[in-house]
Amino acid sequence: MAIGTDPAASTSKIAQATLPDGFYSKFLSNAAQTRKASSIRSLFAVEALPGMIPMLVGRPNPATYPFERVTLDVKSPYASGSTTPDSQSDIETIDIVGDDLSEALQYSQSFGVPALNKWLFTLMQQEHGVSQADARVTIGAGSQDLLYKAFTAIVNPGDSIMVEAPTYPGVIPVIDALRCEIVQIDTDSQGISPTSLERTLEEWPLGKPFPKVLYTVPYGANPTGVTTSLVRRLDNLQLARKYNFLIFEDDPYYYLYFGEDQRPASYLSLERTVVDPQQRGIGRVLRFDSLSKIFAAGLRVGWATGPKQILNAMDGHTSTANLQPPTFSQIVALKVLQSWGIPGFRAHVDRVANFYKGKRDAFEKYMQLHLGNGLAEWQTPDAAMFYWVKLNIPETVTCSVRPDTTTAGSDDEDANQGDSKTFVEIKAVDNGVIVLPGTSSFVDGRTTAYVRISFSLLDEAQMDEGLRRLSEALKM
Amino acid sequence: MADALKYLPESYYTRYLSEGAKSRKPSPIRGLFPLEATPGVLSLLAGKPNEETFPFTSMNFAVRSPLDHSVDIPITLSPAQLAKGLQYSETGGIPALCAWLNAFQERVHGRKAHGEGWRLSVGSGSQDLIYKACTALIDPGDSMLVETPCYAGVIPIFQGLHANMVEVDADAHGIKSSTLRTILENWPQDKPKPKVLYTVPYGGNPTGMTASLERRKEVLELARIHEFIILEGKSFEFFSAKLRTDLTVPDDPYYFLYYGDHPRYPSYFELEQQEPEVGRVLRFDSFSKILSAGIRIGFVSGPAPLVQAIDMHTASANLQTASLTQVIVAALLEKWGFETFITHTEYVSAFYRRRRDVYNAAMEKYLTGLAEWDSPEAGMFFWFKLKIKEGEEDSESVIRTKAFEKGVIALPGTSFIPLGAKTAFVRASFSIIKEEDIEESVRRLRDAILEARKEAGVV
Ligand SMILES: Cc1ncc(COP(=O)(O)O)c(C=O)c1O
Ligand SMILES: Cc1ncc(COP(=O)(O)O)c(C=O)c1O
Repeated sequence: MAIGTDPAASTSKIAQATLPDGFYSKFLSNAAQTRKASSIRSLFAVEALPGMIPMLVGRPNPATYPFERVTLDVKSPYASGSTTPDSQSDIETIDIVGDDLSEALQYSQSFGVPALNKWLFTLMQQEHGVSQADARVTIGAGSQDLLYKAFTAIVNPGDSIMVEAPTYPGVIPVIDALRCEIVQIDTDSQGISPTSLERTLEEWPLGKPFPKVLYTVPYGANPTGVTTSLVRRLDNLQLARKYNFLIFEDDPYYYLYFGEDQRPASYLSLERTVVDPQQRGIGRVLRFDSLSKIFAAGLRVGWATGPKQILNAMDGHTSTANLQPPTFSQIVALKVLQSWGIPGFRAHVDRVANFYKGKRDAFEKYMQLHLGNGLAEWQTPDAAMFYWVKLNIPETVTCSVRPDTTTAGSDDEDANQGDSKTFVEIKAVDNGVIVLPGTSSFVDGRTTAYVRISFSLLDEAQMDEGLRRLSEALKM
Repeated sequence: MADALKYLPESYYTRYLSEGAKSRKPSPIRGLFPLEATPGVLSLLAGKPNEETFPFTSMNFAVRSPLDHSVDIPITLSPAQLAKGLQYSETGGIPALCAWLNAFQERVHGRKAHGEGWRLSVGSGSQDLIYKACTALIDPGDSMLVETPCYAGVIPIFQGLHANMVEVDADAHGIKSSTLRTILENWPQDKPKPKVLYTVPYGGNPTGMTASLERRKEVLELARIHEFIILEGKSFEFFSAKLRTDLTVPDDPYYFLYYGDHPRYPSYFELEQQEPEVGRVLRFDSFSKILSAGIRIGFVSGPAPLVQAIDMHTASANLQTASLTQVIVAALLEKWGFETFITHTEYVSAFYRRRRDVYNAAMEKYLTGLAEWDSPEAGMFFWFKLKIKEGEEDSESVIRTKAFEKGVIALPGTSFIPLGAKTAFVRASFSIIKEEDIEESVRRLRDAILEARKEAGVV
């Protein structure tokens, strides 16, 4: 920076402006731009005026609801012992009664219960450095719900989007249904391969609109278990600025990082702290968080943080498609989070990460024992719950022929080394073990020798036996 | 009839499914669940989080006894129920809740859960299911019949799908089947017929009207002849809607909020058993109006291929309905049983009936001659026409300016007209207004109307 002598001017906050509203109009899909506002919800503000007698909305009368009280017992995040509480004193009892209960049982806002939304925004401020000027939060019924709405808000049929290969299998049907062109970007042990991404963009056909979005799972990726390194994150962010695409940072495993090294910062925070000499503005990252892996998947609570224009379009989708995320689950989460505060929340997630580290260590031991002698290759994950394993598949398993769309940076090397899908279906299952064939993690459904192995639910005996069966199947 | 109910074959529905529904890919992981269920197989498949890491150790709740409101019934979730509630669960609803609801649909509508070609699925409120059903049925440009006035919350769904909406009038006896007949009999030869009819048969939102038996029967007959699906929604008795001109989609969240004087009419779902074959009704129920809206639980009942298309959409769009609220509702319903649940719904509908009476008395006192209405027999809305001056067909300015200035706000009727025409009607909701405020609110409305009449030169 030229005015390096002025300390204030050198801080990123001053150097970087938030992208203007108009920036997003070329990103929003036709569906998002033409969606009509819900006529009832647009009058909500009027109804709240003092002295106004409301006859507007069809909210049921909470007096008719039969619930009188809800009581939860919650483990203290500071309790000794790994995750099972040692004594009653480690248990906190939370009552949901009165106004809290009425709120929990009633319709609420499309963007979530306001108090929870605020709590999460504060967390995002502390954790990723967002400010009210450049971002807000919206709550969804799980992060899947929000991913679906975010892609719908951005993608028109025929648009191009970039997706890690392999990627989270659950996102494939979502983007597939939008009939867009999906460009697969290779990954390796450090995350997204910068050469694959850069090559794709540099060689982009002249006159063809550039991809609008890069979708990535940066921590303990599903399925590879890889955490994208800081260097790679910086490279990708630079490319996003240069080629003007959005980054969808899907990060449900953020809090499940247990690596030795310092954790890399999120794209959301890097966008705010890494000064861009060319001042191309803040607002290209949309981040997805979830309570599913740290609190309870059955609550269905996730949240998105990012540019208001995109979140507004997603909220519009919510108000017609499912009105709102469940209020009851949100109040349950809020009561616990309020009681803990952010320090308690951090203590809790550290404990959860530690729990998975213990599982990972045990699993690694059995991986070495049963698959170590040349039967498979893998990289030990330092976050989340998955191993991405290349099996040395016996030649007796014939490769079923499946279409293999050629995409930028893809290579056919894996195809020559075996078909894990056929192996799983005919050998592994017969041998009493099932793992996820890698093909379901590729948008093009390519043949691959990789499988995803999940260790989250297994005790040591099951790890031992499961991997023993897998190694036997490989020897058959 | 009972032992040999004829139902339409699966292949019948192919022509109703939208291109999107037909080409939707199954979720790759959920597709392997059957293999995973092989006995003896150790699964390293699904990426479920470990429940031990969840902070909740127990949960209990208390509900009022519907038989004696001074008594609270405590219900504690068993460890297995709690674990189920905290974890990912089945796309179309947890088995305990689905089993209860299947038995329930049999008791209420006389439809057996097995061997009749229909099934049931749980969604995140009936809105979620209506959105997915419409997405599964409608391609851009497809025609659909929409009861008019219509629940305002679904109009943006139809617009978003670029449906060609055809309005079908409703009056005090519900949807006008004669208008429906005229529309269908005069349908242009060269234009594909409507696929769906959407209707709210009990305590319609906004009209509060309940469709009569004759109307229902005629609608079903037309659905068969002209081959459309009825989307039946209930909110208050439980309510439902009808869609597709071969399918009726009754949206019925108000089914259990029926408090009319004559015995309740059978649902489309029940009545279709008197037709030569069943399979043209897709019914939407909701717990929002009787147990809690914040739990977000609704359910759809109808032809298996259509429910399957809805489930496929769920598997990719939001995975499932919240497990925790499903477990709580299942535990509550199991504790109560069918009869006690019905007793509860009777209490709820009596609650709204009493408010209806208070509201109606205020309307008679202050608005006689200034507005026209039929007193609702279900639900929580009055739908009334402002009498400003002869030929005046717009309530919006009176409500948005005059009524607002006087300190009362209701919903201008145009929100409920699918194609957006102006109307002199207004919807007033009497569900949460304090009983002591009802008189005052109607008096303020009277002042607003009088002022508008004066300005229009009507005395
Ligand atoms: C990468 C990724 N994104 C999103 C989700 C969906 O999670 P949620 O329960 O928040 O909808 C998952 C769940 O497995 C996931 O692995
Ligand atoms: C006619 C009708 N259908 C559907 C709904 C949506 O209800 P829910 O999604 O809460 O079940 C409502 C709610 O007001 C309604 O009035």
